[in-house]
Amino acid sequence: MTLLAASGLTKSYGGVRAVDGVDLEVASGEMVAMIGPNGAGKSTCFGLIGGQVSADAGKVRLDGADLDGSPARRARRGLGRTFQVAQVFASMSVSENLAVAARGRDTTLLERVGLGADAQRPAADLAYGDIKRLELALALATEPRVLLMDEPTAGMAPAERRQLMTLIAGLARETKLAVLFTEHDMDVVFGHADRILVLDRGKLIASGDPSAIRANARVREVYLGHGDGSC
Amino acid sequence: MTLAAFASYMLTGLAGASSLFLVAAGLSLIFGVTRVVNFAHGSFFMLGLYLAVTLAGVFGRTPLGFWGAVVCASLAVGAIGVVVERLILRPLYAAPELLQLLATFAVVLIVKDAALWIWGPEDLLGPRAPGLSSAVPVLGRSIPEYDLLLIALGPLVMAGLWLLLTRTRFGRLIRAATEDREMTAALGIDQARLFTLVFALGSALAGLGGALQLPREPANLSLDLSIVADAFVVVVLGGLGSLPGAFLASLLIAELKAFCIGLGFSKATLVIEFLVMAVVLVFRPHGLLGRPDPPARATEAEAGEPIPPLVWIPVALALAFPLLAGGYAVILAIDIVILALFAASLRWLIGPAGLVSFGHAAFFGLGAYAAAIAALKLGWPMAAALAAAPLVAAFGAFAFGLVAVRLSGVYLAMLSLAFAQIVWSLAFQWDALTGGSNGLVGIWPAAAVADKTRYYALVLGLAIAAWLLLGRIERGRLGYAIRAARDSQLRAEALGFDVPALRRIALVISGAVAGLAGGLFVYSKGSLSPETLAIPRSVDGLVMVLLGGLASPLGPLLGAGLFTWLQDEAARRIEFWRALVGFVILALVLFAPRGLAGLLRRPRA
Repeated sequence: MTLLAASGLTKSYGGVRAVDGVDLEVASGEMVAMIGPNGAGKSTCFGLIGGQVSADAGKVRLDGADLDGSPARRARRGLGRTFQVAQVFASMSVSENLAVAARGRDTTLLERVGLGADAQRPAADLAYGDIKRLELALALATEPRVLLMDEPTAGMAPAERRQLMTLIAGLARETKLAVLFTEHDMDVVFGHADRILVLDRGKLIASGDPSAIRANARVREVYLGHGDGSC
Repeated sequence: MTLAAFASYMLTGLAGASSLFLVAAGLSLIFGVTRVVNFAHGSFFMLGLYLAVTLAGVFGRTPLGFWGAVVCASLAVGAIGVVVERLILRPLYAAPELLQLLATFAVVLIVKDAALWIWGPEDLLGPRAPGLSSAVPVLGRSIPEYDLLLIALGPLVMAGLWLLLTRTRFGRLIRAATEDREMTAALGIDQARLFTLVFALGSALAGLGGALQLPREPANLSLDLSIVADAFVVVVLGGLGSLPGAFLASLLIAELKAFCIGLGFSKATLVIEFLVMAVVLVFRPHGLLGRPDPPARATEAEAGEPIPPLVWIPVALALAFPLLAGGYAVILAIDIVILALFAASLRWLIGPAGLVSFGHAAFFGLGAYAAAIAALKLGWPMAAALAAAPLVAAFGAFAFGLVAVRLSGVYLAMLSLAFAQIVWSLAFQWDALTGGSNGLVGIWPAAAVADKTRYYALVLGLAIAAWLLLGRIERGRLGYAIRAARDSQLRAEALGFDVPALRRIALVISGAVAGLAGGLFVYSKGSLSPETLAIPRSVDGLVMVLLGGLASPLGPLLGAGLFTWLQDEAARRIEFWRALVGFVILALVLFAPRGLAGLLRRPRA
């Protein structure tokens, strides 16, 4: 069942079309990766869906109803997200961060993202990978129906990456969460995504399951820059 | 309005625009490159005028003497700017902007007392410009020749600065640094030297602006704050860091002023000026030609460590002492506790909410006037009048919040200053309600608390209740949400928090507490005047908060105690107490930036 649907998303900066008529859908329980070279428009796309960037044109729907207005309004409708540069509350401890996000809900998210032992530490003292983890816990604490993750595993070692993505995949299946993420690490993308969207210069150039994307000549040419498939 | 009148107002406005532009251009240049909002910029203007008066006397009444005095005064002020930059600002470039503002305010205090010491309290009128002392008829009205010269001078200076910025290496460096400070540093440009030179240039421009006023207005000790308020308006209106913006805004403000005065609304000038600014900022938050905000630096993004419990014992004893001792200790203690409450409301706003207010006295004053008017004009009993104080102040804060909470950093600070000026001018000019400049007298407490010691007990009780309430809110869900909005607006919004609403709530709470302090203040003094809500009181509040330190709720009490005691002692014993306060502020900002409470805090593991 399609949970998140965007159609005709468009945004220009000056004369440059950062996002140009992008359509996408994510079903509940599905993990969809959005990939593309630097500057392809991935983060702008996330901003358009999350409401941080105002759209020139296009529509976002959540569960069939229009999703519009401020980022806060969209969040209250069930859209959670993380940012490329992780955003947490630097003056608070890890557990205070989570308490703010959870608003009184009981949660074991700190343990689940692997920060149980760091609960009392000031968030400002965490390593970057741990800040990413904390941010993910914050986004999940609102019990969203759709989760957007902008480079969730940046700053982590390969083993940690696999662990985190397995956790998210589990959550997605368990809670019927629709997940859309960007990622530079192709092992993460091809290992965990159910479906992959490829963006280049603001346009969606391909979409399909990992094996289809691997075989897509245009993706190889535009995204990988050469034909041998390694990256 | 006849064409002649129109032309004459227009020309008067243009002449005023030139000197305003000189000051604003300097402020804007300095901000663009160093990101410091220089409160002392008005003091440099004032020094320029005083120096020009003295030098013109020495050089003699010849054209060379006059213009020599103007140029030398400007250069001397540039040199003073270098000293200030080297000694005071250089160690503070990486510090939170609040500390920088406070340091430059300390310079205001020191310069004011230095000017008092050198030139005395009397206004000094300079000579007229030789050869330019007559008037020219324009459409049947006479315009001073000197004004025509000033009209030409503004665009000339603008053109000169434009050439400097676009055609010279120094200018290119200034533009590069305004664009991206980190990048210029990474490219190996000697930033320290660039900053000093820019500060010298900006100060010299302010000095020139002052010196050029030689035949137009007498040098006096109140010029510093009045001109810096004007310059803030111009720079914010034009867009921080934009010279063409400053030029445009100078024209707009000076013309508004000239027409208001010409058409007989001189009383409304200030209100109109600040309303224009508010309207522009609501629609163009970065000013007419400004660009999006430089990211604001957090005031203090650290967790508030608990104060060791032992510290509370002497504090409690000190608060209880006046109840037993009576006499002067009680009077001083009433002042201290009221101001501590005021400072606590400001700390709540700056600390947890991260909103820097430069006009917090507006809420204090709204509370004070509300209580006084309720008591005198409406005949309300004291309890009702005291209850009206926080309500009216909270309403004022809500109204301010409607236009202000979407702004950030220095823009918010400056708009708060503008709001305070509007409230001040209302108090100053609405004779029928506020008693105008004479103020209101005869507001005495109810018989039960007429005795000073009893009144102190009341003040202390209410203040402690308000402190406890603020503390509860700060540690509760609402307080955490407000802090979250300060720490990361993006994150807070992405979690579904309505950040503008949270800021409005923070502002209303802060305004209400400040209003309560104002109400208590008016009953302790028995009278009040517009001074109660003028700029210096807002700055007093900032000094107390900074003195005490932002991180701890105990800070405002320590800050208000030390500040009030120091001011009281110094004002009685030392003629130049303002300068002394200035040096104390500088010492604190430079050597104990986390305030007294920071010194008391246990070092973090």
